Amino acid sequence: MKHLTQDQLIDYLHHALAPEDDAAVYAHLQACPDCQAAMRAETALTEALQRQAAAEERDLPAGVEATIWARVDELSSAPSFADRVRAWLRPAILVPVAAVLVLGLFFAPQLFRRAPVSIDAAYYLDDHAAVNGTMPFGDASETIPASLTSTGDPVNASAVAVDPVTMTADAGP
Amino acid sequence: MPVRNAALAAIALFALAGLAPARADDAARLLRQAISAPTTTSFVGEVQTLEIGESQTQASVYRIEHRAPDLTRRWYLAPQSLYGDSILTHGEHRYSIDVQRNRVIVDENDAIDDQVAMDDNFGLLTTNYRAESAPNETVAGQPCNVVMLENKHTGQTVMRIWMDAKTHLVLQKERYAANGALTSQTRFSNLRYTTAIPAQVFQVPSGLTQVKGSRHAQPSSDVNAAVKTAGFRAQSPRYLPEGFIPVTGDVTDVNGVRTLHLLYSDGIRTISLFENEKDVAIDLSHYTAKSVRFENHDAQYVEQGPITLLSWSEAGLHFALVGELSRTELIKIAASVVP
Repeated sequence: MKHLTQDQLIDYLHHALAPEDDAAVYAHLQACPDCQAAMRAETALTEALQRQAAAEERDLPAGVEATIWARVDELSSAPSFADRVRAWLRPAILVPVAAVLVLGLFFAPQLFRRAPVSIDAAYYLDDHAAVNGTMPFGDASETIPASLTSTGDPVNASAVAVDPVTMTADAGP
Repeated sequence: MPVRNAALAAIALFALAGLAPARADDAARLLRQAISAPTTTSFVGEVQTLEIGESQTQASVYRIEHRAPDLTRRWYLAPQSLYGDSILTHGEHRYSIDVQRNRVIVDENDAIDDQVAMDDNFGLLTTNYRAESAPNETVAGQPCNVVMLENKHTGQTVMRIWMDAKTHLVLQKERYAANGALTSQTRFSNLRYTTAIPAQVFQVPSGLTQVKGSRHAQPSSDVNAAVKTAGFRAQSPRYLPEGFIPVTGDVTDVNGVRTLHLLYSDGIRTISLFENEKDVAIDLSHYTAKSVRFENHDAQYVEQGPITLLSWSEAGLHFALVGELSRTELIKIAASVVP
């Protein structure tokens, strides 16, 4: 009968064998006093080494583990709004963004500014004269048209339809 | 003898009847006939106008050719700056021919043929004015009935009208300020009644650049509707001279700015209040503008003869008040426009 090797005994002792190998080693040990002796020696040696390791073991400084776990939690969770704002306010980002904003504020009004709207006084004078045409003896022909006397260009004016207000029975004229 | 004298007196009265002043109760009828006379009477002549303001006066002389009912040409002889310019009126269309700038400005005025408005306004006139006949006179060689219009509230004569006794055409007209000063005069001369006016007189000359001017809509007598259409919180004056009422309102997009125009009148005198709310400046650069301050407002005004335009801003609204009232009266009205 072939005896177990030391590697097989060590693996068996540490439950590192595959199930069928583990069963075969177990069966062999039941029937082989020599291998049982070698197993006891190997077990004693392992236990001695474990005792020695336990005697030399040292605890980590207090708080280290908590700090490590806190850091792990921090890295695994989503950043808060404040964290994101702080991230944006980093000088590497803030400075170029601020520069773009300042330039934008300076040039935008010039880019988007509406041409200033003005209405020539001639329009008001002419429109007053035109409506006067419906007044008895308010003939606008007596007045020199402002469009002829004004040096400006004629005003672009177009009428807006006035929707009649719903009249009630007691509404006056 | 007394019977003979009485008979002679009666004959004399009969003989003078054609030249006698129109009776007071006929005055209103004469006025109405005068208003419609141009629609039935064709003529050519020359007209002199005087527009007298508080600080400046405008005068003009133009030849006029009118073919009833609605074709008119006014050809300016004076002032010198307008010499050769003319205005053609074809019903609602007006062509202002500016020869110096080689252009013709085309305006459209839907209000001109508004007979209903004219009738309403004539009613307003007779409500506020008493028509009194004055002794007949001759203007441009034509015997004329003369009617004075006296303000019922103030007792002041505001207008005096000379109407051809046959055609009823107004041949002379004078307007007076509250203190009685003459503010405008229009007078015909070289008048000739004729229908033989060549059609080409009323043709728009070719070769000129046509420029689109304003299109004046027929204003609505429903002033409240116009105010609602304005699209902003429009304001009205709390003070108006006695007899003035809101007559019409219209809304116009002027250079893209919605502008409300409210017209107030007592039947003869008129005031226009223009309002808009955008950041709009009034361009007075073509006029001699002056500053005036009222109610903490820095206002500006220009005068064109008796017409004054007063402009100011308040609470985001821009106002222009136009009228032939005195500047003091206009400022009083403007101060009562409180947003």
